[in-house]
Amino acid sequence: MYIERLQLKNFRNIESINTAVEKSWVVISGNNAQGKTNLLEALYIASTGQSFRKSLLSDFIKDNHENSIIRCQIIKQNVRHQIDVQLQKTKRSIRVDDKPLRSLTKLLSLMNIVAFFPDDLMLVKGSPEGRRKFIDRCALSFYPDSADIFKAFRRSLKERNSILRKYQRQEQKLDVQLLKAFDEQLIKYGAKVHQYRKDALDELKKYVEHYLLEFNVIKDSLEISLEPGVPIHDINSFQSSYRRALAESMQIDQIRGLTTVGPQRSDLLFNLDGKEAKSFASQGQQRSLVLALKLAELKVIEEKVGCAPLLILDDVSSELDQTRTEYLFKAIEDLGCQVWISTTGSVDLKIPKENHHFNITNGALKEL
Amino acid sequence: MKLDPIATLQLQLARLPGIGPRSAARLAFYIIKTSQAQGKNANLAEDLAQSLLDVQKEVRLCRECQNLCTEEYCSICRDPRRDQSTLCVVEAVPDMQALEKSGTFRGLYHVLHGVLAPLEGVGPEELKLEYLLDRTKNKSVEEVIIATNANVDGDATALYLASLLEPQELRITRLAMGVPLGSELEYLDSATLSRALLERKDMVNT
Ligand SMILES: [Zn+2]
Repeated sequence: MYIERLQLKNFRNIESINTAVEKSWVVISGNNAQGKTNLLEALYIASTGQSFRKSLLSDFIKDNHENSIIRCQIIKQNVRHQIDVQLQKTKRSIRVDDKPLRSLTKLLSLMNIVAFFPDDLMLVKGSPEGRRKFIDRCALSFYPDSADIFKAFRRSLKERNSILRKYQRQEQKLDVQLLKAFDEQLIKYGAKVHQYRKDALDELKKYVEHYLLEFNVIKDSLEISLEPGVPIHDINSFQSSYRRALAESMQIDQIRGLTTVGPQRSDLLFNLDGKEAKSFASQGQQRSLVLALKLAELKVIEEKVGCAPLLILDDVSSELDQTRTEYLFKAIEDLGCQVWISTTGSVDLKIPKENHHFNITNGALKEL
Repeated sequence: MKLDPIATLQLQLARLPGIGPRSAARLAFYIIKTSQAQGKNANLAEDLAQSLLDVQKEVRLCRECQNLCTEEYCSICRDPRRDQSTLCVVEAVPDMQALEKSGTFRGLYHVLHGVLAPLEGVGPEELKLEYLLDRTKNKSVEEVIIATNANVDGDATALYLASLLEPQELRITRLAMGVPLGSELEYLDSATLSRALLERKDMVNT
């Protein structure tokens, strides 16, 4: 799939952009804080319904304006589609082919996107939250139906935490039956979230090892395991382990006013040739691992959807060395992705000749 | 200072759920235009204003089932042919109307006017669940069908209700909803809804 036209209005520092695109490589150069990442963010929101940054809705709207608009025309498997996102201070509304979107599933099935940010290179060493985000993004793009499950899981967790918090702050006595009613929702959707993550990981594994062997990062084997965030008492039933874990952590949860066990606490562990990557892999090896994960993500989507996804590269080359960048670019060429890439222009990226090159300064886009 | 009546109308309309500023403006101009023209909508503004006042003055909750009605008891509760032994608990009036349209259900209803949602401050008291328990205890109810939506809050409400009703030794059932049938009752067609009702499942407390 590829973007044919992108229109933005009052999005962050961008007042107005209306640009047609016909090539596979779209380079956006500019100095820092001129709007490069904002433009990529708009594309990302139109593809996933969400931003990759923590933001309030009002942050998206240019100062002194009521709303901002993202309109994306795409071609996928020879069919043209249009995505309209309207961001207001209190709500976000998305239309796909002029019909209001009721579940993100539809958007995720239509828009296949992989994004790569400098922060991603911290995936192995960084916080578990970053790794959960990564595997959840994969699960969402591999199985668009999971969008409603993830949403229901988050809702269940918030509801349960709100009961615990009101009790902890002594605003309400604890209604054990009420807590139990929401526990069951948490268990139901949490088990599904866990399963989606496991399945997504299995899909990734098929390719990651291959890339790591190719990069000479491992000689022998790669192991990636999913820490479930729940002590597994019963290997046959995640649900019953989860139920038991919730019962056992009941007291501590009440004291802390939040839920301390569950898939919201899970993590990914990487083992390269039997050594834990987080502590033992060099920075170079860790970066290769991240690159391999990203390439695997691209491959799985291509395999599942039957066409190459859209790729966003936000200033990645500033952090990735020449060899790895070249490898990445070659893989992109082989897959035939449309790629939107931002750069400060300080390094020569060796981008294929067939490209659009835009400059963005103070939110204004100009084709060079 | 007197407020601009056009702007005021737009602001009032925008207070309605699902109506953004743009739709509000469109509706406002439509009302203004048609009210000044001839034709079938000539009295739209006046008719609309009267309807709104009537609704506010005359509509209240049925003393028995909490349905909306204009008398003490709604037409369903007053109908002696309805099966007094089954009670169907719904979240909202539109859900009840959808069930009525399907024609499969002949019992009585109970409208909760919401579901449990601790995050939004809706607990058992807000839903007046005590009143529902009194109803099932004192009337000849044998089965309670819980027809809240099949989402997080709807399912939690069903479980909670089942645990409250358990001591009364009634049959407690749940509509067979959710994937692939669809999780929101209001949007189901009559055939699917009938099926969800006929295939309802007994709730067993875990
Ligand atoms: Zn009634």
